[in-house]
Amino acid sequence: MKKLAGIVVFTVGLILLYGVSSLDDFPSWGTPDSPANKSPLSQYFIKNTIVDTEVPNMVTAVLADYRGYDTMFETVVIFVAGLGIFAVVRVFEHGGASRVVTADTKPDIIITNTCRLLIPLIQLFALYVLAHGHSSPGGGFQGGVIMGASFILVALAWDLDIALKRFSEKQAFICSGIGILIYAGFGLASVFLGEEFLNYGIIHKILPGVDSPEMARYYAMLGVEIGVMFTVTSIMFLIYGLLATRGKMTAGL
Amino acid sequence: MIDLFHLSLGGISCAIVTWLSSDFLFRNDCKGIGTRFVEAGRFLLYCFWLLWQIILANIHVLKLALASNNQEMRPQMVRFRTSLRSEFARYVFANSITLTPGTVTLSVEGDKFVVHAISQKVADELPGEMEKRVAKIFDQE
Amino acid sequence: MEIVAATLILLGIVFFFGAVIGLLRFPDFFTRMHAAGKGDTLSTVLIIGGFILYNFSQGGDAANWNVLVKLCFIAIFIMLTSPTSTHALMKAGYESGNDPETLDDEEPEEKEENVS
Repeated sequence: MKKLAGIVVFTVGLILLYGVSSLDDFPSWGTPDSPANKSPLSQYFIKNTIVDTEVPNMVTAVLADYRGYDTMFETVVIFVAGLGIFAVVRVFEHGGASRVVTADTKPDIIITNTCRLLIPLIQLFALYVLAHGHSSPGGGFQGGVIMGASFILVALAWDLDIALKRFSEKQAFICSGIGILIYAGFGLASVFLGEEFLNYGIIHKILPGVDSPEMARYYAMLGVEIGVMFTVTSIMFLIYGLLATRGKMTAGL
Repeated sequence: MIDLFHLSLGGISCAIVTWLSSDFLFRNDCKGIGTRFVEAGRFLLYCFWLLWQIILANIHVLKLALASNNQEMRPQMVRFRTSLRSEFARYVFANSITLTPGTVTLSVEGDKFVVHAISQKVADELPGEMEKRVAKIFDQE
Repeated sequence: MEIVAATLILLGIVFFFGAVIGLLRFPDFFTRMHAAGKGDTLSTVLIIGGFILYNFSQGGDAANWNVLVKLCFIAIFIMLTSPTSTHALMKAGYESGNDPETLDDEEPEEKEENVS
């Protein structure tokens, strides 16, 4: 049986190697002639991103501006995922019959002290990733995940009650809604100023100190990313809390 | 690279983190800023000594790993009480134990330490010099 | 400068090697964690130190200082978190009833070996 498995794995490996290396279906790694790079769309982005938006990081510009609709509804998808898990998992206990769940071990002083030193730095790093999304890899989704992880770390090192004292369930839901409202607010602002939904360039008329549509796009992208971060942070934390405690949202794990 | 916009973003980020979790970093506010700076300076000096100890630790483990017979290896548990009073001093001491020759902190409860030592030689040295040095940092001799 | 950097990186790899050998050869979970936990810290810090020196040998403009500071932060975080994770693993192993092989346990085993 082992030999048979070995032969199967080996054959599949050989077929995969053949498929990757010798066929001409795939362009070689990083070549400028690959279909993705030759398409007029990518040519346009490569040439015009910095002209249109003043943002050095093309990925951020595509994500938050050219493809703004998609990212907005990605954020909505995350919000709906949080709502869905809440609807499926959350248990509300009425009356005092239920067992009180408490953590079975005291928090460990080594782990809690390390977390005390690290959590503020993790949060600072999350905000750095958010604010530097324009010029380096990063943005709202990544920053939000790191921020959410810092709250999850509180729940892991102490217990969920301490974490909920800092960021309660209600606050988390309000924040996740605020995130989408911020995003949609930037879209609506451009509608009211006479452009299409999410066409941020026009916002320069109401932003103080910004005189060109390009810089308006630059700042609006940051605002949009902040909205994304709000949603991702709170939904990350909520999903962890709901799943770790089987919907009870008490100390538990 | 450095412009007013990004600098102000940095300032705002710091303010947000301070608002969110300043009580993590500085929990007991009874100490003045001056004491904290003095402690930080002494801690830096301690770090250099610790780095040297870590190098010794690694050579020790390397020797044990490469020795042809493990005669020197005597894994054992060491239990002792520390004289350090504050929680943070105990934390620094516990992490230093984990980093240095053949010893790992297993549990800390109150002033009771349980340490797993890898050989007789390092087990005999506990708590010893390191505790005195940690006590010196935090004025708890 | 580059030679010093290369030496540091090589030293780090030697310590990593020691950690791996220890991980394979030591008898039980707790002693293995000794090897893994300590080999990790120093060798990573040494390798990062090598990177810092190499970075300096390439000339010192603003971008280099940026990289230097970031590498220093990585080294500090590793020094902070590595002992903590070692401790957490050891504690979890200890509390789940996995008794460490101690001095008293070892002697009968040696006798058995002599008999056989």
